[in-house]
Amino acid sequence: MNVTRLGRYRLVESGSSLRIELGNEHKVLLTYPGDGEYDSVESIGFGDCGCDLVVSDNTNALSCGFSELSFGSTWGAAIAVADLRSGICRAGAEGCEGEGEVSLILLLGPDFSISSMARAGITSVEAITAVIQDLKLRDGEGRCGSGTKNLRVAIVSDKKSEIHLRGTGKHSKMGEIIGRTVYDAVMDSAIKNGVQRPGPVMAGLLSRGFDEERIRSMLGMTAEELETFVRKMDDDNVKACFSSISHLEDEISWGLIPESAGNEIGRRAIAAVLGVQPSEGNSLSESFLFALIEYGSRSHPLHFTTVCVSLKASL
Amino acid sequence: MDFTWEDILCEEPIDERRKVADMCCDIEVFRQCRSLILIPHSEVRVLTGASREHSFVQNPQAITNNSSIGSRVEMSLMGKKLNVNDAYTDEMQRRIGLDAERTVAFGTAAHMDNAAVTNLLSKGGVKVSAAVTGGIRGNGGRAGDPASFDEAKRYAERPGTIVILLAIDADIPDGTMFQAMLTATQSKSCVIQELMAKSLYSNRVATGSGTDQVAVICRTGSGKEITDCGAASDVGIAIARCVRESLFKTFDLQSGMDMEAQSDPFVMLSRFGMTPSSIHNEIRFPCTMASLIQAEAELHKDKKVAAGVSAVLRIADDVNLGIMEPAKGVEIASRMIMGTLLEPEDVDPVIRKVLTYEETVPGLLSMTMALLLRKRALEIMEAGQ
Repeated sequence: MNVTRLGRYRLVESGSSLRIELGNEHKVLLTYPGDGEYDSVESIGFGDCGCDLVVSDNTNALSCGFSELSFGSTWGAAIAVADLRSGICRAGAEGCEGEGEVSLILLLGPDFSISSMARAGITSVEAITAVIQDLKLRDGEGRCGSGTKNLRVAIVSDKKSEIHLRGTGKHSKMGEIIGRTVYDAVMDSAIKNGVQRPGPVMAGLLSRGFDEERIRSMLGMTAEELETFVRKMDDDNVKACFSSISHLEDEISWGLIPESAGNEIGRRAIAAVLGVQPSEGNSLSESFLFALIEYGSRSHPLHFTTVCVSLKASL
Repeated sequence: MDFTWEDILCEEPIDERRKVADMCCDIEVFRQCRSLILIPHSEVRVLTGASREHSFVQNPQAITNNSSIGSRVEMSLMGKKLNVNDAYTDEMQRRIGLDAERTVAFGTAAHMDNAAVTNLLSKGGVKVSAAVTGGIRGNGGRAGDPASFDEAKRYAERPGTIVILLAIDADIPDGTMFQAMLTATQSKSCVIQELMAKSLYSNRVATGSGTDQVAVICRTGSGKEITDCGAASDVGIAIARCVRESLFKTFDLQSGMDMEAQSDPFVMLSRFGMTPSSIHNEIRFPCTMASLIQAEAELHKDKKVAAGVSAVLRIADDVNLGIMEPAKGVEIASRMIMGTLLEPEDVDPVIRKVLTYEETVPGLLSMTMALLLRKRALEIMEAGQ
């Protein structure tokens, strides 16, 4: 059992559970499967914590992220469990696969009304979206993510606080505290739970629809061999080039950049950064992958030869 | 001479209430004075994220979205106690025949004639509607950006708010109404991402405006209970699509913000604080003013330049995120610029030397845009001779 403090609150971590002892009755606004508004909560947490309110019981082997900030007399803290390895969704789109989740407890020092607490939820979910954008996570169809399949948010306010405020939007100092603490706690937990920052190019390719079969047929390698190969040449040129052409593909799909202009500039960017003239007629990601193989054979000839020789031997 | 908001309000003419749309939950939508008025004719429950304080509200007479009068009157309210704002809002409701105590009121700088109402049916047959107003040019922000409004000290806040009034024709538990609010918010952030609308408080893409507000309205006693409004659910997908359609429309109406306007290289560069004026100062142009003006007008609409600028700015974003070393980012961006935007002959020895000292990706792009302007203006002059 590990006992720590977050502001004036006592946190008890035990195995896969976390208990936050609030000390006196607090007001809570909780998403489904919670009942919405609670008026007298003295403990809240994750897992088998024996709390008045359990935000998520799906925390086995998952690590929490924590963050707290204050500005003058205004204080806030976020405690998050974020598993962003799957279940990434883009709002409005089908294709949300897997069981990833974000479960968030946001502790607000001042007293707030339910409407202000709801607005704190709006600011919180924008911060969660910002984390997913910054980690460049995508849904099952390769679209940029905005959230997770399982999203549970509990906003906790001390109704006995001497400070009563209204502002929890991003324009207010309380809103800034909410945005920053939620971002940091979710990012912290997501990385502890296995999301890499920055994601390797191979993971990026896979998230854009390059499944193992397709890679094997394109390159005559197993996905594992390719991942080893790509990881070894995951240098800054490759990362920057992939990041830029991926972004261009997104902007083309959104209708922000016309397809012809985006494809032409994307191919020229690949040629300029990797020094390889990409072929016409493929998507930008496909052009990038073919160019990557030639770039690898030039930049890492010894390793490339080794992979080819071992592949031939295995065949 | 100082005036009070009461002085101004009493001068405002009261026009006829006129119906402009229908929404699900038996809601009629009206326009009157500066207000968009939603009148439910069934029993409804409302969760509001407005600045006016409420808990869950059962059977309000109306839900309203109200335009402010203008900065002079707003400034007469700023810095005052919050109950002064409440008194102002209540009086506005009373003047258009509503019971202020039974009205859930929202406020924004956007004009209500620019509101967009969308009605959709989810695949599972649940009706969803959204009435949205919004501007983001004046107040875009990314969650976690520095804020200027310390409520304890009552600083003035900047105008610009997205107001989403969302109706779902089903019985929805309170926790699910909160979940629906968060799904609507995600949809809003997706629209803003697709428009690459900037935050005014950092050089990141915004996730919302600084003062966004959402209402979720559900029909109690509808006989159709929905417990999941998450992003992956049937109703959640309909909510997001409804908000998305309305928000794109209202951004266009309110701010002239659409894909065409946003795929402008100068707009993209403005995220990093660059303006046409600052770009003009990079070099001294051997061109006429007329040719420069025409060249700039052409560059605003050049989609290849927009694509090149966007691809290079992605490297600047990666540097900001700490996943690319700044010096390495500048080096790769230089090569990308030379391959996508410039020709070797566009860069003379002086500029080349100056650029060797450039330490930021946006700085490289600023000079690049100046060189493109010069090249295009010279071509225009040559063609005119």
